[in-house]
Amino acid sequence: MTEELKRVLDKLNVDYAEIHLEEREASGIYYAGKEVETVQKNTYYVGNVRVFHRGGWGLVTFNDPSKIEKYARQAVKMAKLVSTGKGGLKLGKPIKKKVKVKLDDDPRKISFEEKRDLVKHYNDMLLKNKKIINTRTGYSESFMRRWILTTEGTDIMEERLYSGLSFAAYAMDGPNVQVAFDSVGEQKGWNLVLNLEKKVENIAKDAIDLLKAEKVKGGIYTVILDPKLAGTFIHEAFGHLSEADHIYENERIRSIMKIGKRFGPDNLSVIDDGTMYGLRGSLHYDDEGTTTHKTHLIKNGILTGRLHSKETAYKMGEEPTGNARAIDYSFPPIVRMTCTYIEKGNKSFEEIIGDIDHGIYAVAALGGQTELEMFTFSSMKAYIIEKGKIKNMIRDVILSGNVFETLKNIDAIGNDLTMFGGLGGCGKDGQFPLPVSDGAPHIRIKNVVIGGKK
Amino acid sequence: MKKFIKEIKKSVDGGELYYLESESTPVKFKNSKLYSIEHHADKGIALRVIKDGKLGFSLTNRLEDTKTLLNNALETAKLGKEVKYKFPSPSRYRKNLKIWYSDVKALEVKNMVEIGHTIVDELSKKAPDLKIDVEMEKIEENVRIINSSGLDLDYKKTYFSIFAVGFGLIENSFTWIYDGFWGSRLPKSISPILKTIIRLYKNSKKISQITSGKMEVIFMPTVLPSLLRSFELGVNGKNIKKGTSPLKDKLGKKLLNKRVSIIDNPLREGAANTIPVDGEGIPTKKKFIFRDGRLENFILDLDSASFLGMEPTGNGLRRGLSTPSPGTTNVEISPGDVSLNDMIKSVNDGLIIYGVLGGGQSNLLAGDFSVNVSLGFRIKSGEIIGRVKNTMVSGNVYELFNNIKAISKGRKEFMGILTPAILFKNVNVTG
Repeated sequence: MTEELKRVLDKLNVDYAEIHLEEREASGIYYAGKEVETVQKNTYYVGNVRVFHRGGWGLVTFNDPSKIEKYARQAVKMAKLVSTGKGGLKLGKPIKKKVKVKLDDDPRKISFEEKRDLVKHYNDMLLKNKKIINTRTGYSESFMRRWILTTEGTDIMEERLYSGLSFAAYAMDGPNVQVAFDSVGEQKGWNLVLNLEKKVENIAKDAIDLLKAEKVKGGIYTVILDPKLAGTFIHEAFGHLSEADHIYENERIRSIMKIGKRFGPDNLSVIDDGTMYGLRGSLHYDDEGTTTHKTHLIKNGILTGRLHSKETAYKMGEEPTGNARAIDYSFPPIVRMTCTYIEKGNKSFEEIIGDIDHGIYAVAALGGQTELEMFTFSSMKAYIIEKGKIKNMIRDVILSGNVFETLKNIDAIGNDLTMFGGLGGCGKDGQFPLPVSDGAPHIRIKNVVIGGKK
Repeated sequence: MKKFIKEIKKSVDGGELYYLESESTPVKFKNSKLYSIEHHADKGIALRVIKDGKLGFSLTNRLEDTKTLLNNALETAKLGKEVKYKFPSPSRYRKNLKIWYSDVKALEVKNMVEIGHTIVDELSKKAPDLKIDVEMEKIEENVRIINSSGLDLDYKKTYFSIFAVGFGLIENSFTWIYDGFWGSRLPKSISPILKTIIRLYKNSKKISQITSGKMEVIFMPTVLPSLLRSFELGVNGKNIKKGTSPLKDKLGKKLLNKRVSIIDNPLREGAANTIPVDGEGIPTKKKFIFRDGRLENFILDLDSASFLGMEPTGNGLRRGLSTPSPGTTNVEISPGDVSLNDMIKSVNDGLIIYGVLGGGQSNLLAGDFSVNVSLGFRIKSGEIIGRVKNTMVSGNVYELFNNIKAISKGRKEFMGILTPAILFKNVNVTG
């Protein structure tokens, strides 16, 4: 079939064109409370043809590849309508490659019943607690095979297999409802979802403890972020600003995100790396057929890089970094992160917390929002720190601030880098969820504004 | 499809096919320039089966491979949710409800590009500090639902939307001003969108200070939808069934000010979410959620209705081909009796809000809200005196809707939600 597609591409006579095809089989089983909420097994077949000509893009998506010639002509017409006559792409050498999934513990070999039994086991553990009034526990798995053909001569087939488990507990006491959740999700096979009992117990305990936790008092605090919240912070508040499409489209971000400028202390390095083995955000080739990279966004406190597609690389005179990604082929590839993290430092947790007289330890993210350099995040749970010790649990902790000031206020970085995948993902331009990973060690930040309740 | 349902009847207790074919064309302008044109042609089928009292589900867009579809659905039914309902038999529905408009069908890509250029050019001329983003989309859908209880129906629907945002630094502070159109037909004219944005832009030039405290606040139709989220979650059958909604045992109770009526109206002509039947083939109907402040209806699909021993309300909606789930269609708040001008004049010291950011970080189900005002103005002695910056409003919608001073006569539709402006008393404002 690819021979036929190549023939279509060859005839188009445009600056650049791609054809994508994707086969996907996705299954999942979710419990809500005592009951099975959904069980499904779906198969998808989607594709698109994307054309670039003299600065303009056209995209036609479909699930009937027999009409590919018609779709391609349509995409050419659209690209010409959008064309400004200016602009180009940083094209690459042709890549011909097939990447297959190889896993000893391939979850596709495990029966649906066994998966259900495992989900039920964890779910029952949560429900054992009287105060837990509802749960959401589920397993999901998605296998995909993607083909990318480009007018450069690139012809790639890459397989990926995502799987994982998530669990949430809702505790209730009168009108007070609290939620705690956790998940695991990577490209690492079946063993990943086994032996999660400890995590599940902790989540039930957290939800129940949150019922009694006091609301935080607003103010300015020294805050320790756990690796999960720090990972969310670096992805949401900083990572998105490193996406070159934001940078060239937005004058304000462009004026701030200057290579060589200091962004944080000497020991702060931030990396996006699509090549890490088996993580949720990893991939061999992006959706423009560019090999993925390890990109230093910040190195020793200095801004050193950003994330590119073929188009943003051309516009900014840099090289593509393998960050052009689409959630599936009903969408165009856009600049996205892969596995984004703060590099580990040299402090133990005891050293980080030891000299805090009065502060907050904030753990995991409940939600968040960013708007250019301003961010607000709420942590899932948090604790008061008194004289270097973790004290009582508090809730409704909302951290907010300016990302650049906040990065400069990082004054301790732990030695315990942890990466997180999960089953959700990142959203941008209506494309959600894109599988990504983020991570960090424990970090300490001075002068963080905590909103909370007045 | 009919043959397929006949065939599977032998191996299952109940079966339902939902077929969706859609063609959509989004056109986007970014930073005042034409940015992208896309075309999406999708077809797919979703199959639900009930076997031994358990529900199975599978979807595919490989239309020819019904064998895999059936096998997947049967495999999931073994582990599926226990259900007590049957797929619905045919019943009378509004077959002639107008939801397909030839003017949308006839609209070509180049016409959409022209409309976008007009919006960008007009706004750039009158509001030179702003960059303009415009998103426009036309959609044509064909839906067919067939089930083993004899139901077999189909409809064609069109949809069109425009969303225009002007953004930029005004008086040293970043400002977003937006408006749009959502419907199953084309708007008569785009000039209301242009007029709104230009008027708000002019008002934004003057900055005013605000002090924290409780005050009177007018919520415009562009921001009321974010407050209505809590009510929608509260009456959603899924949350009632799970016992997580604060409204679960409140049917018939007066919970809001008696002037407040909130309606779910899937039959509103020309509106974005108008449909004759829901995603399960149940006829839709106009219904009060709150009538004169009293809770009158939950929003139910087959599953939640059968669990609660109630009738489904025709609100089993699907997102694409996904499993049906309770959802509202076109929500309306009944109009009041004062003009917006008189409403503003009646405020001695307060705020009028046109845009908010955030939400979702509070306990929405409990009715809590806390949002940043992205576009709002100070009112002093009945006059709008200037735009406020860095302001938050917060509270609880169940309290707020008992603290109403006035509801406007005029209404405006925003994102499919038709509401008047509402003036609330004692709103918590943090400056």
